[in-house]
Amino acid sequence: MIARNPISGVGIGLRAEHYEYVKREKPTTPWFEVLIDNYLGHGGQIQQHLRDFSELYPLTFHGVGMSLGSCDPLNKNYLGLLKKAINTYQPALISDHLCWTGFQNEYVHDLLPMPYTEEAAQHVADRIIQAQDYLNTQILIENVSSYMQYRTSEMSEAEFVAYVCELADCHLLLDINNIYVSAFNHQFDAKEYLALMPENRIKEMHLAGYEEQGDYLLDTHGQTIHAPVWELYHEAIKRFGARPTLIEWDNDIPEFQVLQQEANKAEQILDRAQTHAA
Amino acid sequence: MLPELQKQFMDGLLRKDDRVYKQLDGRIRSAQQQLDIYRNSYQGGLLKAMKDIYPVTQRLLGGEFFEAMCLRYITQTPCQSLDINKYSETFAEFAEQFKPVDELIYLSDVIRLEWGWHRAYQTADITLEDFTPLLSFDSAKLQSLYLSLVPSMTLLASSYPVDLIWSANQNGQADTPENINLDIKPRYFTIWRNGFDSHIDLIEPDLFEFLLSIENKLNLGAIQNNNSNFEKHLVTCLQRSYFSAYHF
Repeated sequence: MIARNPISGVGIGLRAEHYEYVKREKPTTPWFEVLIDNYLGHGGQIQQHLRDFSELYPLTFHGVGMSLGSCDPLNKNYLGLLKKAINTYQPALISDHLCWTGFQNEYVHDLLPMPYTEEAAQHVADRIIQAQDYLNTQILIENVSSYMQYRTSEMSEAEFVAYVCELADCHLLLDINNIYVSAFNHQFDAKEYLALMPENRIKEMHLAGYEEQGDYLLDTHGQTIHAPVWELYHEAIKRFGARPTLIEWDNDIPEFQVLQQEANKAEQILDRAQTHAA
Repeated sequence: MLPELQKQFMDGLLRKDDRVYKQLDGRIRSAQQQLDIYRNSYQGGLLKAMKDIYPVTQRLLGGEFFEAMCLRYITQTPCQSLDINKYSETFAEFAEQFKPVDELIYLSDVIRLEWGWHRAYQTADITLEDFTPLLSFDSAKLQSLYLSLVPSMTLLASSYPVDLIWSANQNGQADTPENINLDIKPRYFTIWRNGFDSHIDLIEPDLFEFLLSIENKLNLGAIQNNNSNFEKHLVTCLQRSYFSAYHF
Protein backbone atom coordinates (compact mmCIF):
# COMPACT_ATOMS: atom_id res chain seq x y z
CA MET A 1 0.00 0.00 0.00
CA ILE A 2 1.24 3.48 -0.85
CA ALA A 3 2.33 5.68 2.08
CA ARG A 4 0.94 9.19 1.89
CA ASN A 5 2.50 12.54 2.82
CA PRO A 6 1.72 13.48 6.44
CA ILE A 7 -0.31 16.53 7.44
CA SER A 8 -0.73 18.21 10.81
CA GLY A 9 -2.61 21.04 12.45
CA VAL A 10 -6.15 22.16 11.79
CA GLY A 11 -7.52 22.08 8.26
CA ILE A 12 -10.77 23.46 6.88
CA GLY A 13 -13.41 21.84 4.68
CA LEU A 14 -13.23 23.56 1.29
CA ARG A 15 -16.62 24.80 0.04
CA ALA A 16 -17.55 26.57 -3.21
CA GLU A 17 -18.57 29.69 -1.27
CA HIS A 18 -14.92 30.20 -0.28
CA TYR A 19 -13.15 29.32 -3.55
CA GLU A 20 -12.50 32.89 -4.59
CA TYR A 21 -11.46 34.05 -1.12
CA VAL A 22 -8.98 31.21 -0.66
CA LYS A 23 -7.46 31.69 -4.12
CA ARG A 24 -7.15 35.45 -3.59
CA GLU A 25 -6.05 35.64 0.06
CA LYS A 26 -4.20 32.31 0.34
CA PRO A 27 -4.87 31.92 4.08
CA THR A 28 -2.32 30.12 6.26
CA THR A 29 -4.60 27.10 6.68
CA PRO A 30 -2.21 24.10 6.68
CA TRP A 31 -4.45 21.87 4.55
CA PHE A 32 -7.95 21.59 3.08
CA GLU A 33 -10.38 18.72 2.83
CA VAL A 34 -12.36 18.42 -0.41
CA LEU A 35 -15.66 16.58 -0.72
CA ILE A 36 -14.30 14.51 -3.55
CA ASP A 37 -17.67 13.21 -4.80
CA ASN A 38 -18.46 16.75 -6.01
CA TYR A 39 -15.54 16.60 -8.45
CA LEU A 40 -15.54 13.02 -9.75
CA GLY A 41 -16.72 12.69 -13.33
CA HIS A 42 -17.27 16.43 -13.72
CA GLY A 43 -15.41 18.84 -15.98
CA GLY A 44 -14.87 22.50 -16.77
CA GLN A 45 -14.51 24.90 -13.86
CA ILE A 46 -15.24 22.17 -11.31
CA GLN A 47 -12.07 20.27 -12.26
CA GLN A 48 -10.09 23.48 -12.62
CA HIS A 49 -10.86 24.44 -9.01
CA LEU A 50 -9.51 21.09 -7.83
CA ARG A 51 -6.36 21.55 -9.91
CA ASP A 52 -5.87 25.08 -8.55
CA PHE A 53 -6.27 24.10 -4.90
CA SER A 54 -4.03 21.05 -5.25
CA GLU A 55 -1.25 23.41 -6.34
CA LEU A 56 -1.81 25.74 -3.38
CA TYR A 57 -2.39 23.37 -0.43
CA PRO A 58 -2.09 19.77 0.73
CA LEU A 59 -5.52 18.17 0.25
CA THR A 60 -7.41 15.34 1.86
CA PHE A 61 -10.26 13.55 0.06
CA HIS A 62 -13.50 12.88 1.93
CA GLY A 63 -16.37 11.01 0.29
CA VAL A 64 -19.69 9.27 0.85
CA GLY A 65 -19.85 7.37 -2.44
CA MET A 66 -18.27 4.09 -1.41
CA SER A 67 -21.39 3.18 0.62
CA LEU A 68 -19.17 0.71 2.45
CA GLY A 69 -21.99 -0.86 4.47
CA SER A 70 -24.40 -1.40 1.57
CA CYS A 71 -25.37 -4.87 0.37
CA ASP A 72 -25.10 -3.70 -3.26
CA PRO A 73 -21.88 -4.60 -5.06
CA LEU A 74 -19.12 -2.00 -4.65
CA ASN A 75 -19.52 0.67 -7.32
CA LYS A 76 -16.51 0.04 -9.58
CA ASN A 77 -17.20 3.12 -11.69
CA TYR A 78 -17.02 5.34 -8.60
CA LEU A 79 -13.90 3.60 -7.31
CA GLY A 80 -12.28 3.94 -10.73
CA LEU A 81 -12.89 7.70 -10.80
CA LEU A 82 -11.67 8.00 -7.20
CA LYS A 83 -8.50 6.05 -7.98
CA LYS A 84 -7.79 8.30 -10.94
CA ALA A 85 -8.25 11.41 -8.76
CA ILE A 86 -5.99 9.93 -6.05
CA ASN A 87 -3.27 9.23 -8.59
CA THR A 88 -3.59 12.72 -10.05
CA TYR A 89 -3.75 14.80 -6.87
CA GLN A 90 -2.01 12.59 -4.28
CA PRO A 91 -4.19 13.52 -1.30
CA ALA A 92 -2.69 13.17 2.18
CA LEU A 93 -5.68 11.16 3.45
CA ILE A 94 -8.67 9.41 1.85
CA SER A 95 -11.75 8.88 3.97
CA ASP A 96 -15.32 7.66 3.77
CA HIS A 97 -17.95 6.66 6.33
CA LEU A 98 -18.85 3.58 8.33
CA CYS A 99 -22.38 3.48 6.97
CA TRP A 100 -24.51 2.68 3.93
CA THR A 101 -26.17 5.23 1.66
CA GLY A 102 -28.48 3.19 -0.57
CA PHE A 103 -29.62 -0.23 -1.73
CA GLN A 104 -30.71 -1.75 -5.04
CA ASN A 105 -29.93 1.39 -7.05
CA GLU A 106 -31.87 3.74 -4.81
CA TYR A 107 -29.75 6.32 -3.01
CA VAL A 108 -30.63 8.45 0.00
CA HIS A 109 -27.42 10.56 0.00
CA ASP A 110 -27.43 10.29 3.76
CA LEU A 111 -25.26 8.36 6.21
CA LEU A 112 -27.30 5.39 7.40
CA PRO A 113 -25.91 3.54 10.41
CA MET A 114 -25.15 -0.18 10.42
CA PRO A 115 -26.67 -2.64 12.86
CA TYR A 116 -23.86 -3.45 15.31
CA THR A 117 -23.71 -7.17 14.62
CA GLU A 118 -21.01 -9.70 13.77
CA GLU A 119 -22.57 -10.16 10.30
CA ALA A 120 -22.51 -6.41 9.58
CA ALA A 121 -18.94 -6.03 10.89
CA GLN A 122 -17.66 -8.84 8.66
CA HIS A 123 -19.61 -7.48 5.68
CA VAL A 124 -18.37 -3.91 5.94
CA ALA A 125 -14.80 -4.95 6.81
CA ASP A 126 -14.67 -7.16 3.73
CA ARG A 127 -15.74 -4.23 1.56
CA ILE A 128 -13.21 -1.87 3.16
CA ILE A 129 -10.50 -4.43 2.39
CA GLN A 130 -11.70 -4.66 -1.24
CA ALA A 131 -11.69 -0.86 -1.55
CA GLN A 132 -8.22 -0.54 0.00
CA ASP A 133 -6.84 -3.25 -2.28
CA TYR A 134 -8.34 -1.58 -5.34
CA LEU A 135 -7.14 1.91 -4.37
CA ASN A 136 -3.81 0.51 -3.20
CA THR A 137 -3.91 2.63 -0.05
CA GLN A 138 -5.29 2.46 3.46
CA ILE A 139 -8.39 4.55 3.96
CA LEU A 140 -9.93 6.19 7.01
CA ILE A 141 -13.48 5.38 8.00
CA GLU A 142 -15.54 7.91 9.92
CA ASN A 143 -18.00 7.18 12.73
CA VAL A 144 -21.37 8.70 11.76
CA SER A 145 -23.97 10.50 13.84
CA SER A 146 -27.18 8.51 14.10
CA TYR A 147 -30.85 8.89 14.91
CA MET A 148 -31.94 5.25 14.97
CA GLN A 149 -30.93 2.03 16.66
CA TYR A 150 -31.55 -1.50 15.50
CA ARG A 151 -33.06 -4.16 17.75
CA THR A 152 -30.60 -6.70 16.36
CA SER A 153 -27.42 -4.89 17.53
CA GLU A 154 -25.17 -7.19 19.54
CA MET A 155 -22.53 -4.67 20.63
CA SER A 156 -22.18 -0.94 21.27
CA GLU A 157 -21.37 1.49 18.47
CA ALA A 158 -17.90 2.10 19.94
CA GLU A 159 -17.17 -1.64 20.07
CA PHE A 160 -18.40 -1.98 16.48
CA VAL A 161 -16.22 0.87 15.19
CA ALA A 162 -13.10 -0.51 16.88
CA TYR A 163 -13.86 -4.07 15.73
CA VAL A 164 -14.36 -3.07 12.07
CA CYS A 165 -11.08 -1.09 12.07
CA GLU A 166 -9.28 -4.14 13.40
CA LEU A 167 -10.91 -6.58 10.94
CA ALA A 168 -10.27 -4.34 7.92
CA ASP A 169 -6.89 -3.02 9.06
CA CYS A 170 -8.00 0.48 8.17
CA HIS A 171 -7.56 3.87 9.82
CA LEU A 172 -10.12 5.85 11.77
CA LEU A 173 -11.42 9.37 11.24
CA LEU A 174 -12.84 10.17 14.64
CA ASP A 175 -15.68 12.68 14.33
CA ILE A 176 -16.00 14.23 17.78
CA ASN A 177 -19.26 16.01 16.99
CA ASN A 178 -20.80 12.76 15.75
CA ILE A 179 -19.87 10.99 18.96
CA TYR A 180 -21.49 13.74 21.01
CA VAL A 181 -24.64 13.85 18.84
CA SER A 182 -25.11 10.07 18.93
CA ALA A 183 -24.34 9.93 22.66
CA PHE A 184 -27.05 12.52 23.29
CA ASN A 185 -29.56 10.85 20.96
CA HIS A 186 -29.00 7.33 22.27
CA GLN A 187 -28.12 8.19 25.86
CA PHE A 188 -24.65 6.69 26.11
CA ASP A 189 -21.49 8.11 27.67
CA ALA A 190 -19.31 9.87 25.08
CA LYS A 191 -16.16 9.57 27.21
CA GLU A 192 -16.65 5.81 27.54
CA TYR A 193 -16.94 5.74 23.74
CA LEU A 194 -13.57 7.51 23.44
CA ALA A 195 -11.99 5.01 25.82
CA LEU A 196 -12.80 2.18 23.39
CA MET A 197 -11.29 3.83 20.29
CA PRO A 198 -8.13 2.26 18.83
CA GLU A 199 -5.55 5.01 19.48
CA ASN A 200 -3.01 3.89 16.90
CA ARG A 201 -5.59 3.89 14.09
CA ILE A 202 -6.88 7.44 14.63
CA LYS A 203 -5.35 9.54 11.84
CA GLU A 204 -7.73 12.50 11.80
CA MET A 205 -10.52 14.14 13.79
CA HIS A 206 -13.55 16.16 12.65
CA LEU A 207 -15.26 19.03 14.45
CA ALA A 208 -18.58 20.63 13.47
CA GLY A 209 -21.73 22.22 14.87
CA TYR A 210 -25.02 20.46 15.53
CA GLU A 211 -28.57 21.74 15.78
CA GLU A 212 -30.99 21.16 18.66
CA GLN A 213 -34.26 19.63 17.45
CA GLY A 214 -36.32 19.28 20.59
CA ASP A 215 -35.49 15.90 22.09
CA TYR A 216 -32.61 15.09 19.76
CA LEU A 217 -29.54 16.69 18.15
CA LEU A 218 -29.10 16.89 14.38
CA ASP A 219 -25.65 16.87 12.79
CA THR A 220 -26.22 19.81 10.43
CA HIS A 221 -22.70 21.30 10.20
CA GLY A 222 -24.43 24.67 10.18
CA GLN A 223 -23.25 26.39 13.38
CA THR A 224 -20.15 27.07 15.43
CA ILE A 225 -18.89 24.12 17.44
CA HIS A 226 -20.79 23.70 20.71
CA ALA A 227 -19.14 23.79 24.14
CA PRO A 228 -19.67 20.09 24.99
CA VAL A 229 -18.02 19.12 21.67
CA TRP A 230 -15.01 21.30 22.46
CA GLU A 231 -14.83 19.63 25.86
CA LEU A 232 -14.96 16.17 24.27
CA TYR A 233 -12.31 17.18 21.73
CA HIS A 234 -10.07 18.34 24.55
CA GLU A 235 -10.59 14.98 26.24
CA ALA A 236 -9.78 13.13 22.98
CA ILE A 237 -6.55 15.10 22.43
CA LYS A 238 -5.52 14.49 26.04
CA ARG A 239 -6.12 10.77 25.59
CA PHE A 240 -4.73 10.23 22.09
CA GLY A 241 -2.39 13.18 21.52
CA ALA A 242 -2.51 15.68 18.67
CA ARG A 243 -4.17 14.55 15.44
CA PRO A 244 -4.85 16.46 12.20
CA THR A 245 -8.23 18.04 12.84
CA LEU A 246 -10.80 19.41 10.42
CA ILE A 247 -13.41 22.16 10.80
CA GLU A 248 -16.53 21.20 8.80
CA TRP A 249 -19.34 23.56 7.79
CA ASP A 250 -21.98 22.62 5.20
CA ASN A 251 -25.14 24.64 5.77
CA ASP A 252 -25.66 28.40 6.16
CA ILE A 253 -21.98 28.75 5.30
CA PRO A 254 -20.49 31.92 6.85
CA GLU A 255 -17.47 33.97 5.79
CA PHE A 256 -14.19 32.09 5.72
CA GLN A 257 -12.90 34.02 8.75
CA VAL A 258 -15.55 32.39 10.96
CA LEU A 259 -14.13 28.98 10.07
CA GLN A 260 -10.63 30.30 10.69
CA GLN A 261 -11.66 31.39 14.18
CA GLU A 262 -12.93 27.88 14.90
CA ALA A 263 -9.69 26.46 13.51
CA ASN A 264 -7.69 28.78 15.79
CA LYS A 265 -9.58 27.46 18.82
CA ALA A 266 -8.79 23.87 17.84
CA GLU A 267 -5.17 24.83 17.16
CA GLN A 268 -4.86 26.20 20.70
CA ILE A 269 -6.08 22.90 22.14
CA LEU A 270 -3.59 21.00 19.96
CA ASP A 271 -0.76 23.35 21.00
CA ARG A 272 -1.56 22.96 24.69
CA ALA A 273 -1.53 19.17 24.33
CA GLN A 274 1.83 19.25 22.55
CA THR A 275 3.34 21.59 25.17
CA HIS A 276 2.04 19.34 27.93
CA ALA A 277 3.45 16.23 26.22
CA ALA A 278 6.88 17.90 25.87
CA MET B 1 -30.40 -10.74 7.12
CA LEU B 2 -28.51 -7.49 6.35
CA PRO B 3 -29.92 -7.23 2.79
CA GLU B 4 -33.44 -7.73 4.10
CA LEU B 5 -32.94 -5.03 6.72
CA GLN B 6 -31.66 -2.59 4.10
CA LYS B 7 -34.56 -3.44 1.78
CA GLN B 8 -37.09 -2.85 4.55
CA PHE B 9 -35.46 0.43 5.53
CA MET B 10 -35.52 1.76 1.96
CA ASP B 11 -39.16 0.67 1.57
CA GLY B 12 -39.97 2.41 4.84
CA LEU B 13 -38.16 5.60 3.90
CA LEU B 14 -39.27 5.87 0.28
CA ARG B 15 -42.59 4.03 0.21
CA LYS B 16 -43.81 4.38 3.81
CA ASP B 17 -43.83 0.60 4.26
CA ASP B 18 -43.95 0.07 8.05
CA ARG B 19 -42.31 -3.41 8.08
CA VAL B 20 -39.05 -1.73 9.09
CA TYR B 21 -40.54 -0.56 12.38
CA LYS B 22 -40.03 -3.95 13.94
CA GLN B 23 -36.30 -3.68 13.17
CA LEU B 24 -35.87 -0.49 15.19
CA ASP B 25 -35.36 -0.16 18.92
CA GLY B 26 -38.09 2.17 20.13
CA ARG B 27 -37.08 2.57 23.75
CA ILE B 28 -35.87 6.19 23.45
CA ARG B 29 -38.01 7.40 20.54
CA SER B 30 -40.57 5.55 18.44
CA ALA B 31 -39.59 3.72 15.25
CA GLN B 32 -41.70 6.16 13.26
CA GLN B 33 -39.90 9.16 14.79
CA GLN B 34 -36.53 7.61 13.97
CA LEU B 35 -37.52 6.97 10.37
CA ASP B 36 -39.06 10.44 10.01
CA ILE B 37 -35.72 12.06 10.91
CA TYR B 38 -34.05 10.20 8.03
CA ARG B 39 -36.95 10.88 5.64
CA ASN B 40 -36.76 14.61 6.37
CA SER B 41 -33.02 14.58 5.81
CA TYR B 42 -33.39 12.64 2.53
CA GLN B 43 -36.04 15.00 1.20
CA GLY B 44 -34.13 18.07 2.40
CA GLY B 45 -30.97 16.95 0.58
CA LEU B 46 -32.77 16.46 -2.74
CA LEU B 47 -34.71 19.70 -2.30
CA LYS B 48 -31.45 21.60 -1.78
CA ALA B 49 -30.06 20.03 -4.97
CA MET B 50 -33.17 21.06 -6.95
CA LYS B 51 -33.02 24.63 -5.61
CA ASP B 52 -29.48 24.85 -6.94
CA ILE B 53 -30.47 23.49 -10.37
CA TYR B 54 -33.70 25.49 -10.91
CA PRO B 55 -33.24 29.07 -9.63
CA VAL B 56 -35.37 30.59 -12.42
CA THR B 57 -38.19 28.08 -11.98
CA GLN B 58 -38.10 28.83 -8.26
CA ARG B 59 -38.33 32.57 -8.95
CA LEU B 60 -41.24 32.09 -11.35
CA LEU B 61 -43.21 29.94 -8.92
CA GLY B 62 -42.25 31.57 -5.63
CA GLY B 63 -40.19 29.74 -3.02
CA GLU B 64 -43.02 28.14 -1.10
CA PHE B 65 -44.86 26.78 -4.14
CA PHE B 66 -41.61 25.57 -5.72
CA GLU B 67 -40.70 23.64 -2.55
CA ALA B 68 -44.13 22.03 -2.37
CA MET B 69 -43.91 21.00 -6.04
CA CYS B 70 -40.39 19.60 -5.58
CA LEU B 71 -41.45 17.63 -2.52
CA ARG B 72 -44.30 16.10 -4.49
CA TYR B 73 -41.79 15.13 -7.20
CA ILE B 74 -39.28 13.80 -4.65
CA THR B 75 -41.95 11.63 -3.03
CA GLN B 76 -42.79 10.09 -6.42
CA THR B 77 -39.26 9.84 -7.78
CA PRO B 78 -36.58 8.01 -5.77
CA CYS B 79 -33.01 9.05 -6.52
CA GLN B 80 -31.43 6.37 -8.70
CA SER B 81 -27.98 7.88 -9.08
CA LEU B 82 -25.03 7.87 -6.74
CA ASP B 83 -24.35 11.37 -8.08
CA ILE B 84 -26.96 13.71 -6.61
CA ASN B 85 -26.25 16.16 -9.48
CA LYS B 86 -28.02 13.72 -11.80
CA TYR B 87 -31.28 13.91 -9.83
CA SER B 88 -34.43 15.45 -11.36
CA GLU B 89 -33.82 14.69 -15.03
CA THR B 90 -37.56 13.97 -15.36
CA PHE B 91 -38.77 17.08 -13.51
CA ALA B 92 -39.95 18.77 -16.72
CA GLU B 93 -42.19 15.80 -17.62
CA PHE B 94 -43.53 15.86 -14.05
CA ALA B 95 -44.31 19.59 -14.41
CA GLU B 96 -46.25 18.90 -17.63
CA GLN B 97 -48.58 16.60 -15.71
CA PHE B 98 -48.80 18.77 -12.58
CA LYS B 99 -52.24 20.38 -12.75
CA PRO B 100 -51.60 23.37 -10.42
CA VAL B 101 -49.11 24.81 -12.97
CA ASP B 102 -51.31 24.20 -16.05
CA GLU B 103 -51.58 27.92 -16.74
CA LEU B 104 -47.80 28.40 -16.85
CA ILE B 105 -47.61 26.98 -20.34
CA TYR B 106 -43.89 27.74 -20.71
CA LEU B 107 -42.82 26.27 -17.35
CA SER B 108 -41.78 22.77 -18.40
CA ASP B 109 -39.56 24.22 -21.15
CA VAL B 110 -37.95 26.64 -18.67
CA ILE B 111 -37.23 23.57 -16.52
CA ARG B 112 -35.73 21.77 -19.55
CA LEU B 113 -33.53 24.77 -20.27
CA GLU B 114 -32.31 24.95 -16.65
CA TRP B 115 -31.64 21.20 -16.63
CA GLY B 116 -29.65 21.55 -19.88
CA TRP B 117 -27.63 24.42 -18.38
CA HIS B 118 -26.91 22.40 -15.23
CA ARG B 119 -25.98 19.36 -17.31
CA ALA B 120 -23.62 21.37 -19.51
CA TYR B 121 -21.83 22.73 -16.42
CA GLN B 122 -21.47 19.29 -14.81
CA THR B 123 -20.50 17.12 -17.79
CA ALA B 124 -16.99 15.67 -17.82
CA ASP B 125 -14.41 17.21 -20.14
CA ILE B 126 -13.50 15.37 -23.33
CA THR B 127 -10.84 15.75 -25.94
CA LEU B 128 -12.37 16.63 -29.31
CA GLU B 129 -11.33 14.42 -32.20
CA ASP B 130 -9.31 16.00 -35.02
CA PHE B 131 -11.76 16.59 -37.87
CA THR B 132 -9.22 17.69 -40.52
CA PRO B 133 -9.07 14.18 -42.09
CA LEU B 134 -12.69 14.73 -43.19
CA LEU B 135 -11.40 17.23 -45.76
CA SER B 136 -9.68 14.44 -47.67
CA PHE B 137 -12.66 12.02 -47.67
CA ASP B 138 -14.44 11.45 -50.98
CA SER B 139 -18.19 11.86 -51.21
CA ALA B 140 -19.00 8.15 -50.77
CA LYS B 141 -16.85 7.94 -47.62
CA LEU B 142 -18.41 11.10 -46.17
CA GLN B 143 -21.91 9.74 -46.77
CA SER B 144 -21.23 6.70 -44.60
CA LEU B 145 -19.87 8.79 -41.73
CA TYR B 146 -21.54 9.15 -38.32
CA LEU B 147 -20.88 12.14 -36.05
CA SER B 148 -21.29 12.51 -32.26
CA LEU B 149 -22.47 15.67 -30.54
CA VAL B 150 -20.36 16.95 -27.62
CA PRO B 151 -21.67 15.17 -24.49
CA SER B 152 -22.59 18.43 -22.74
CA MET B 153 -25.13 19.32 -25.47
CA THR B 154 -28.90 19.43 -24.99
CA LEU B 155 -31.20 20.18 -27.94
CA LEU B 156 -34.33 22.07 -27.01
CA ALA B 157 -37.30 23.14 -29.15
CA SER B 158 -39.88 25.37 -27.48
CA SER B 159 -43.04 27.17 -28.51
CA TYR B 160 -42.14 29.90 -26.01
CA PRO B 161 -39.25 32.38 -25.62
CA VAL B 162 -37.77 30.47 -22.70
CA ASP B 163 -34.35 31.97 -23.40
CA LEU B 164 -35.78 35.45 -22.84
CA ILE B 165 -37.56 34.34 -19.67
CA TRP B 166 -34.30 32.77 -18.45
CA SER B 167 -32.22 35.86 -19.30
CA ALA B 168 -34.69 38.17 -17.60
CA ASN B 169 -34.19 36.22 -14.37
CA GLN B 170 -30.40 36.24 -14.17
CA ASN B 171 -28.07 38.24 -11.92
CA GLY B 172 -30.71 39.23 -9.43
CA GLN B 173 -33.17 40.46 -12.08
CA ALA B 174 -36.69 39.13 -11.78
CA ASP B 175 -38.93 39.87 -14.72
CA THR B 176 -42.29 38.19 -14.92
CA PRO B 177 -43.20 36.46 -18.17
CA GLU B 178 -46.18 38.85 -18.34
CA ASN B 179 -43.70 41.43 -19.61
CA ILE B 180 -42.38 39.10 -22.31
CA ASN B 181 -44.31 38.50 -25.50
CA LEU B 182 -45.11 34.77 -25.47
CA ASP B 183 -46.84 34.89 -28.84
CA ILE B 184 -43.86 34.32 -31.08
CA LYS B 185 -42.66 31.59 -33.41
CA PRO B 186 -41.21 28.36 -31.97
CA ARG B 187 -37.57 28.69 -30.98
CA TYR B 188 -34.74 26.18 -31.21
CA PHE B 189 -31.67 25.98 -28.99
CA THR B 190 -28.44 24.19 -28.31
CA ILE B 191 -27.36 24.29 -24.65
CA TRP B 192 -23.75 23.22 -24.27
CA ARG B 193 -20.33 23.98 -22.83
CA ASN B 194 -17.08 24.84 -24.59
CA GLY B 195 -14.16 24.91 -22.14
CA PHE B 196 -15.34 26.83 -19.08
CA ASP B 197 -18.13 28.67 -20.88
CA SER B 198 -21.70 27.38 -21.08
CA HIS B 199 -23.84 28.63 -23.98
CA ILE B 200 -27.48 28.83 -24.98
CA ASP B 201 -27.42 29.26 -28.77
CA LEU B 202 -30.60 30.27 -30.56
CA ILE B 203 -30.42 28.36 -33.88
CA GLU B 204 -32.39 28.05 -37.12
CA PRO B 205 -35.08 25.33 -37.30
CA ASP B 206 -33.24 23.66 -40.16
CA LEU B 207 -29.98 23.45 -38.20
CA PHE B 208 -31.93 22.04 -35.26
CA GLU B 209 -33.30 19.27 -37.52
CA PHE B 210 -29.76 18.58 -38.73
CA LEU B 211 -28.47 18.24 -35.13
CA LEU B 212 -31.46 16.11 -34.17
CA SER B 213 -30.58 13.71 -37.01
CA ILE B 214 -27.00 13.51 -35.68
CA GLU B 215 -28.34 12.82 -32.19
CA ASN B 216 -30.62 10.12 -33.61
CA LYS B 217 -27.56 8.41 -35.08
CA LEU B 218 -28.27 8.88 -38.79
CA ASN B 219 -25.26 8.83 -41.10
CA LEU B 220 -24.37 11.88 -43.20
CA GLY B 221 -25.80 10.28 -46.36
CA ALA B 222 -29.25 9.95 -44.80
CA ILE B 223 -29.08 13.47 -43.35
CA GLN B 224 -28.01 14.99 -46.68
CA ASN B 225 -31.04 13.47 -48.42
CA ASN B 226 -33.40 15.27 -46.03
CA ASN B 227 -31.63 18.60 -45.54
CA SER B 228 -31.05 21.06 -48.36
CA ASN B 229 -28.60 23.14 -46.25
CA PHE B 230 -26.54 20.11 -45.33
CA GLU B 231 -23.10 21.50 -46.25
CA LYS B 232 -23.71 24.88 -44.63
CA HIS B 233 -24.82 23.21 -41.38
CA LEU B 234 -21.89 20.83 -41.37
CA VAL B 235 -19.43 23.72 -41.62
CA THR B 236 -21.29 25.76 -38.97
CA CYS B 237 -21.24 22.85 -36.51
CA LEU B 238 -17.54 22.17 -37.10
CA GLN B 239 -16.74 25.86 -36.59
CA ARG B 240 -18.72 25.96 -33.35
CA SER B 241 -17.19 22.69 -32.03
CA TYR B 242 -20.60 21.02 -31.73
CA PHE B 243 -19.09 17.61 -32.60
CA SER B 244 -16.84 15.49 -30.42
CA ALA B 245 -16.03 12.52 -32.67
CA TYR B 246 -16.78 10.64 -35.87
CA HIS B 247 -16.91 6.99 -36.87
CA PHE B 248 -18.06 4.77 -39.74
